[in-house]
Amino acid sequence: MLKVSGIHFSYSQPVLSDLSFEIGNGELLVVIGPNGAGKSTLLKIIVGILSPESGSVLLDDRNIASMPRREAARLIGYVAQGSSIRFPLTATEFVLQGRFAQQRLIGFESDEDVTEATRAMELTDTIGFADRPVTELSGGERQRVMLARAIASRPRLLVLDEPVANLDISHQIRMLDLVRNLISEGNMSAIVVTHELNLAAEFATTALLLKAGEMMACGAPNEVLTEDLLQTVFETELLVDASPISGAPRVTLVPPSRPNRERGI
Amino acid sequence: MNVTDTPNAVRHIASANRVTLAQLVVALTLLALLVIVLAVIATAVGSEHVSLASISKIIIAGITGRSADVTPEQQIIIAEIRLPRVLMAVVVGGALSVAGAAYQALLRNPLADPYILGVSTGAAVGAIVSTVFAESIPVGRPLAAFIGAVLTITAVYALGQGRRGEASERLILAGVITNTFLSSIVIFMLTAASGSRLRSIFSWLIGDLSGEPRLLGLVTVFVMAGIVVIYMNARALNLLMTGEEEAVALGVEVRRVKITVYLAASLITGAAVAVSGVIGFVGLVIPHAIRLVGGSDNRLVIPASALAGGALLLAADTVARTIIAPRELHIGVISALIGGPVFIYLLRRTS
Amino acid sequence: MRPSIESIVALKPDLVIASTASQLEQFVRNLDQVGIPVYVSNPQNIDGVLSSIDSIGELTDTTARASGLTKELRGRIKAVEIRVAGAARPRVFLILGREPLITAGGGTFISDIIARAGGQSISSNEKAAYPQYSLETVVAQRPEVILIQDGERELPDRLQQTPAAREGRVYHFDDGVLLRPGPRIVNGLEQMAAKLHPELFGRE
Repeated sequence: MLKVSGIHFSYSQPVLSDLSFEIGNGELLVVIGPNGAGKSTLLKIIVGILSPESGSVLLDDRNIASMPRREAARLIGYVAQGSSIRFPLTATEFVLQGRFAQQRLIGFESDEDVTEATRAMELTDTIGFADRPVTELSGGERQRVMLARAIASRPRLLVLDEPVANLDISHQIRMLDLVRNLISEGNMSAIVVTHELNLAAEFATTALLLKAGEMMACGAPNEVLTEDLLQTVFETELLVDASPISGAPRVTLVPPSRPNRERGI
Repeated sequence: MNVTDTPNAVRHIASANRVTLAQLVVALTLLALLVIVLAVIATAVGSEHVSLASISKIIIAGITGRSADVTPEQQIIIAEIRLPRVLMAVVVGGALSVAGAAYQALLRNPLADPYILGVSTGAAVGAIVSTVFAESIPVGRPLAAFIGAVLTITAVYALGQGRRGEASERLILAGVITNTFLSSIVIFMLTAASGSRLRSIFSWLIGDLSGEPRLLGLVTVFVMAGIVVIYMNARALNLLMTGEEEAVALGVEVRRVKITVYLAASLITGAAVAVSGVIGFVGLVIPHAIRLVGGSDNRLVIPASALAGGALLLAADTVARTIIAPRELHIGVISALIGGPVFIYLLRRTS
Repeated sequence: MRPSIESIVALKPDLVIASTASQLEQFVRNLDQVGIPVYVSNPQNIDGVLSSIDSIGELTDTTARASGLTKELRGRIKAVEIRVAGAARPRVFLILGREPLITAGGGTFISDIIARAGGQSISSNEKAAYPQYSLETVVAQRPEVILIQDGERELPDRLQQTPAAREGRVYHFDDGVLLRPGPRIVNGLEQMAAKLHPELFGRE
């Protein structure tokens, strides 16, 4: 349902080179790679915030770049990395913003908007703080509200940039579990950027490994999260075996040698 | 996880968590009533006593086009001094408050005021230049002030262009730099000005609603148009407040909205400052106060700020011209003295 | 503009004369600190101007000339006062600034000049020196003569219906003769008396 072909992008230096991959219906693609690999840039290009120098992004066979902005906004739900908001909008107001692309220029929310926002908040378990300002919510609660806003328009594709970055392990798991449920029930797919390799291994249907703007591997997690590939890309020693619970790849860090201790200091 | 359209949930959302049309109408009606009451009081009181009967005659005569049965002095005082001043207070208060609200949303900073990008300082340069060099030109000062404002708006916008369009931080930086530079020009010109000119320009710099009403009609139409343009972008501004990239992803044409709102807000600020000088406090505090009471939805904040700003300046101006009559106090001081405690009260109530 | 202290010191003056009208308090203190004798004149009315002339005469050892001058000035002032005594005092409004409207209060020597020239300043009750004034009050007071400082534009529109405007008794005046505390204010006094009471002064 999503087909990315030949994406090139640079600022003063090349950031992304010749990226091509596909995602099918109901898939959860996790994009992993070192800092500066271009993961966020890739997401912004898919969403339509940035324009690639060459290449195309097709959603359900339609080119994102040639769609009207509102149309693309309706079809793609985006949660940016590390948002900070200084105005005390209530969670309800925040989620209702996700209906913008569906609304007329001036006016107030329709019943349909309210119903859809309610549904989004129920699915993300955020209905409990509908009347609280988002500035007062905890990190995890705010992430879920942002997710609710992203799904309020019933998009075809969810694009999440580091959605678990500041969450504790329990919330990390709950968040990705939520995303997985949303896409399985909602005729959606998702692209998620994260640094949590084990989380990625557990929840992804497909993994894409990015280094310096180039795609190093794309496929099932156990094909991509291999010791060789990961050690090459992250330039550090890692041990990869299978999780005793699920069989998914399990990445264990190998502590660097400690010369000070050996010298008895 | 199943979707359940429970009536409770829908009611939960549809309640007072967001701005509805009904709420907006109620809020604006109350504020409009406040403005009307204050306008009536402002017309009825002044340094010279004019009876309510005479005032009514003058107003009715003005509407019907006939002449009123009053002395020429009363006619001039009400029709040419007081009523224009009432209108100016409402228009200037409204313009500055809406511009403040717009800037706060645009720059994602609840503490922005309409002067933050240097518009008022540019206007001041124009006003001082015309006061010192071209005093004999009719409506010279407001015209020069407006030109100064427009030039500043253009310069700041051009300076604020980054590699990929204008980022808010870059715009703020451009505005602050321009403001500082222009301020030093203003101060230099002030040191060079002689006694009486100095007094005149000093009063303008603090804000003054007693000016010539010749341009008032034009300014009113201009400001109203600007407020309408900003209001049409109110919903987009709501999204912009949460982040520019997020707004793009949600379907906002961010670049167009930013340019439009920036221009409209800056131009109505320039127009207000051109006729009334640099009245501080209103543009920062009114939108802030509205947000404390009514939430951050710009569909409410913008029109409510317009009315509340008008009300504040009406009250302040009435006090400024009656409390030590026939002398007049400076309106900027009065608006801060009235608005300050109100704002502090609101702040404490909500925290 | 502020004068340069260095230039003044370089000239090694025996005496510096300053007027408070120039708002140079800090400058005067600086001169004091470098030991240069300063005489500051601060007259509030015409008599004050005359006595400052006498004082300067003493300081510069020219008392003869000083008292000669003050005697002549006193004579001219007296002549004016005698002429206008008993005549009806027209209501006078002085415009020092148009926007905002600024006039002179009762304690200024220009207010004193108006009074001695046989006029009644509308703002003579104001204690502040240069208050911002209510246009309404000016209109209501129906001034018969309006004086506008040189360099200001024409009469504000909203004062076009005043008796002064309708009878063409709106005059510009020169700062130099009315606002600077020196002997020329007597010229100013004479000119003003002629304007306020044209019937008493003929075509002089």
